[in-house]
Amino acid sequence: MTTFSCADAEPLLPLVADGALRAEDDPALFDHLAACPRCQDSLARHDLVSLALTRTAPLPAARPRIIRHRWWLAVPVAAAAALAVSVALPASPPAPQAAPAVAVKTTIPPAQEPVIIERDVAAIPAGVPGKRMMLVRRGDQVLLVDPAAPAAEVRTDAVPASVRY
Amino acid sequence: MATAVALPWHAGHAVSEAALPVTADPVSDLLTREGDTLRRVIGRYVRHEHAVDEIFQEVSLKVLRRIDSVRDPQALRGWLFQLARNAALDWLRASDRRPGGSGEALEAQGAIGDLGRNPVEHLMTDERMSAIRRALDDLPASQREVIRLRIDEGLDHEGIAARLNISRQAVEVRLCRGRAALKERLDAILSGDL
Repeated sequence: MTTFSCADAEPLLPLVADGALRAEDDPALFDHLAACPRCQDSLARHDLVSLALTRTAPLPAARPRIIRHRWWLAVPVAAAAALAVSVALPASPPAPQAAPAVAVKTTIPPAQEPVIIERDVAAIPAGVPGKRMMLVRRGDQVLLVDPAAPAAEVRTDAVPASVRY
Repeated sequence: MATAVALPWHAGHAVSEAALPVTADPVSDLLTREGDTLRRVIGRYVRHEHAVDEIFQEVSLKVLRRIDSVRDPQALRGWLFQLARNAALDWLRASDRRPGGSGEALEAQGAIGDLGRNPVEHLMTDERMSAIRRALDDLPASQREVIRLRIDEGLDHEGIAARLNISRQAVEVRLCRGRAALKERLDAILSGDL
């Protein structure tokens, strides 16, 4: 792969900002961009120009709401955690196969509505069809959690958990 | 230490660490290894830590879904950069459409988790954005027309070339020169010369 210098990259940044030049078109350029703070700054300014040019009159709120504590669990876990979970779930959870071993109180909001949970435990109901992998982050560590198990609980021993799906 | 364990729904079951549903795979390793770098890229665009977290989550999911599309391992770092930048730009555009989500109102905000630098979001004041748009009028007509066809009509370079009856190369030269001039104007605005 060709090695790029900043002088090589700079003339191409307008095309990157324009969207005409992508990583698959010029991997060497994007490899340089990924590692060069100076070119990243310059590209960010080109991007600001693009944002200004494409800016239109404000529209009604389009971003999804973030709701706190809409989905919670009363699972007794002494350890607190600092983690973030990202998972896609369908609109409604399945019924548990039997009475749970612990008291579980769950409210699943409509699909695509993100939720942040700040607790020490995150639990994913069993048998939810169509769900994808969860990403669990704690500090520098990122784990992929497969919720295909009958039910998944995630817990750590640090500060309150943050769960998003 | 973070753990992910199976939690049986049935009464009487003990939580079993043997049933860990954690998948230790190259994607996890990649996200762990490149996480800080991706966050720094995102942090060039958005202002608050919580937004960086949100965008990083989106990027992580995209990595998970699309990693197989990267054929050349040497292209991986650039691909990750592109994902992070695109996700940040999408977030900014959506935020900018939200009433009070950007511009002067955001400029005036001070919030816990503010990254305390000058990411793009911080620079998106109404005044600066308007100044950039006005600068478009100062470009040579040939450059201005190409940019307007690209931005306002969404034509690709071939389409612009056909519309103006010029070569694609000529379109890209005009586009690059025009955009570079606008960026120079922005640099001057940000440095206080204008």
